[in-house]
Amino acid sequence: MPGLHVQGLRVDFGERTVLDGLDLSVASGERVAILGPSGCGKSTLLRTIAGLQAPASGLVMLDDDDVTDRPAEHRGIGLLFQRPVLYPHRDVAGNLALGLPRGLTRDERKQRMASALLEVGLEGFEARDVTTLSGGEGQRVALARALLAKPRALLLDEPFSALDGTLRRRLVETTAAVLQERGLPAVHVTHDPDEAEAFADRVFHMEGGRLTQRL
Amino acid sequence: MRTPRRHWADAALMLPLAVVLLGPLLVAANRLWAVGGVDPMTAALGLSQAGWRSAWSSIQLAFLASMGVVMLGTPVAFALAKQPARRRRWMTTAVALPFVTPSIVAAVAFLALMDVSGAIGSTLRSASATPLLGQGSIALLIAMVWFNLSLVTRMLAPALSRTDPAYLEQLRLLPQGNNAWLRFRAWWWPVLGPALGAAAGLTFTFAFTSFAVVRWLAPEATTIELLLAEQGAGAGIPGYRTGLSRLVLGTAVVQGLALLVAAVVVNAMQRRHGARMLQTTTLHNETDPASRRSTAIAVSAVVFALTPLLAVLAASVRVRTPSGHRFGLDGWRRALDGDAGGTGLVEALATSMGTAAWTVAIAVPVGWWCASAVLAAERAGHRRRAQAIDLLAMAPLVVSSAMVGLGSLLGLLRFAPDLIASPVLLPLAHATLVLPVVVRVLLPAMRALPDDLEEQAATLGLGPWRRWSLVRWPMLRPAAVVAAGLALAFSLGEFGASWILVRSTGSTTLAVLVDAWLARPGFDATTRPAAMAVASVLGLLAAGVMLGVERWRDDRIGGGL
Repeated sequence: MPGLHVQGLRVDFGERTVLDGLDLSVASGERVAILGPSGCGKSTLLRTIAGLQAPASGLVMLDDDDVTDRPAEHRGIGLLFQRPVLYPHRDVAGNLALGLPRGLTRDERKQRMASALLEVGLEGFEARDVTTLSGGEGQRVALARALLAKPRALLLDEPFSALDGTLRRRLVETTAAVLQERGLPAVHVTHDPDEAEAFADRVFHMEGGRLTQRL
Repeated sequence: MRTPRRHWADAALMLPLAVVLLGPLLVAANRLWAVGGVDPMTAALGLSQAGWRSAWSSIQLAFLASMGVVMLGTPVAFALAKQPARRRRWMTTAVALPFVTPSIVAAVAFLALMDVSGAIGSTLRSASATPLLGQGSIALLIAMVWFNLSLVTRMLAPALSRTDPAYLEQLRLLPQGNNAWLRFRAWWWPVLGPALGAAAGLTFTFAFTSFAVVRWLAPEATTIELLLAEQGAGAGIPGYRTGLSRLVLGTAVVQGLALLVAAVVVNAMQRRHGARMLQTTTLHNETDPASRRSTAIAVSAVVFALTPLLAVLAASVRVRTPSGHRFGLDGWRRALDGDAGGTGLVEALATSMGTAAWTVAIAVPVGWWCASAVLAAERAGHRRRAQAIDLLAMAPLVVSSAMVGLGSLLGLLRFAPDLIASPVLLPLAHATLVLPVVVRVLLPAMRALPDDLEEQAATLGLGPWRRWSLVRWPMLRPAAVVAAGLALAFSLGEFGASWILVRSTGSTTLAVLVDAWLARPGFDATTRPAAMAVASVLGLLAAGVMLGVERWRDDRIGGGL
């Protein structure tokens, strides 16, 4: 079945169970949001799906492909962190280049980077020093980079939480539109119910290491 | 918070500092120029075969030592970073002990190790790293790596343990980071490269100017430093061996140029490393669980660091007998007695401690001022002025301790012959030599101190003195303690300048006493244990100082010495 599927996922930190047999299905092109208090395991869920955290048990399936034991670098899943993780020794273009496959010609690289920046509303930002970008600009560069990598699914770990209300709303809308156009399954975790509603087709609440769907 | 008037004061103070730092060298160069009859560049270009041989030996040795330190130090640094915080702390300290071990102690430590390790020792004694460096040079290179390994572990530690792990995690999720080599190229190399470059540059400098270890471990390796120290005393005398004056002048110029390049590289790399660390560091202090392999590498590094030091202690109580050896305190008794007319252990200890205390008293305030002046110029946007002061403070690193000793001696002979036997001569020479170390410790700490802390204090009505005593000093005190500790340890172990100046001042330090015992002619079963006993005291003193200042270290400020 196309999409992202998590079955019976369990993650323990020492004696504490953070995810307790969690199930989640996100169809291709579908966007889900997960709400929950700090420390409830939202980020751990995303890190486990991405392959940055090993589960004690359970399955992570991507388009009928079991990726549970596959290292993060070979899963093809994109993740936007809470703050934009941009490499300060590279300019915007240098950061975007990390998302491109190898073997492209210089012109192809330039063209793909330019259209990715256009898509997130940062046309002409290629030569900018990433340390001079605002929080919103930084996250848009990170989003463009994640999309350049052509991921099979995209995870968003509260990437807009540090931004002010208007900018946050605009970015949520931009991201949702881009994801819809690409037909990617996406999981977005957030504290903000309004942001969750604005972004997602379905909204879940996380508690006790499990998810319950909000009606 | 510096006013334009303070900037002018800083600029004006540069002149006397330049005279103190560069004076001995200019005097030495001037004297050798006058006696040899050729200018420094002509002397360098017209070097005899012996001169070029010594230059090439020094370059080979320094280059191989730098490569060895980077190749061995990098996996050790990664392995140490993987250890849990507490274990990492004591392991890092243990690996850093050789760095403050006096060079003469390192020399006797490896001699002791070769004595007790049977076939391995005798193989090491005769093995050559290159034909030019000759017998014993493999042991010499191992000693160099042993000495400087902590430069790499210290400089890489902040990047490995404190950079935000999200950078590496993010890279794993991108096509250009989906294998270890790509991640190294895209992340570790840009982050660690400047630190590795600085560590390699400093190792190059220390290896290029090492004297005691070369003298005792690879006697066939006639490096520039050895040539300057051993032949320098006969140079600069009018009408006497003018060729020697030309040789000393020429090799000193070649050495100065090589070390100048190394100093510029170190300076640039440290600046880049510091800037990168400020951009990528977080308060993150957790690591993944240590793998067995990383723990094995870290434990091996600790054993490698401690074994030669323990070998010195063991050798001090190991006395040769016609049938083998026995254990006893004969060497310690002989070292304490001073062997009929020579300097005793206690007397040399007092001289060393007094010299080291004076060195700290001179070097730390001067180093503090230099670092403050560099920072003030940087923050005012005067980049060239900042670089000029920084390079001036680094100048002693660019010259050998033998040249500083020789220059001080020649300078005093010419301008103030009455001071030739003054007890301040040695602390002054030592303070000159440790100044770069003091500045290298204080400057990153000062750079990491946000300007707005003092500005906020000023808006609260605090005057300059209260701002200094209530804000600046408490925040920089740890770095000042570390700088003082390192200055103390370096002075205790300094050998090259002391070896030359002791002839005029008569102040036999512990380092000179070790050499004197080792150099004693004729076979005597207790001579070497006596040398080992003095070396043990010196090594323990340096280790004690190091352990004492360790808890003041803060590797968040970009690493360094």
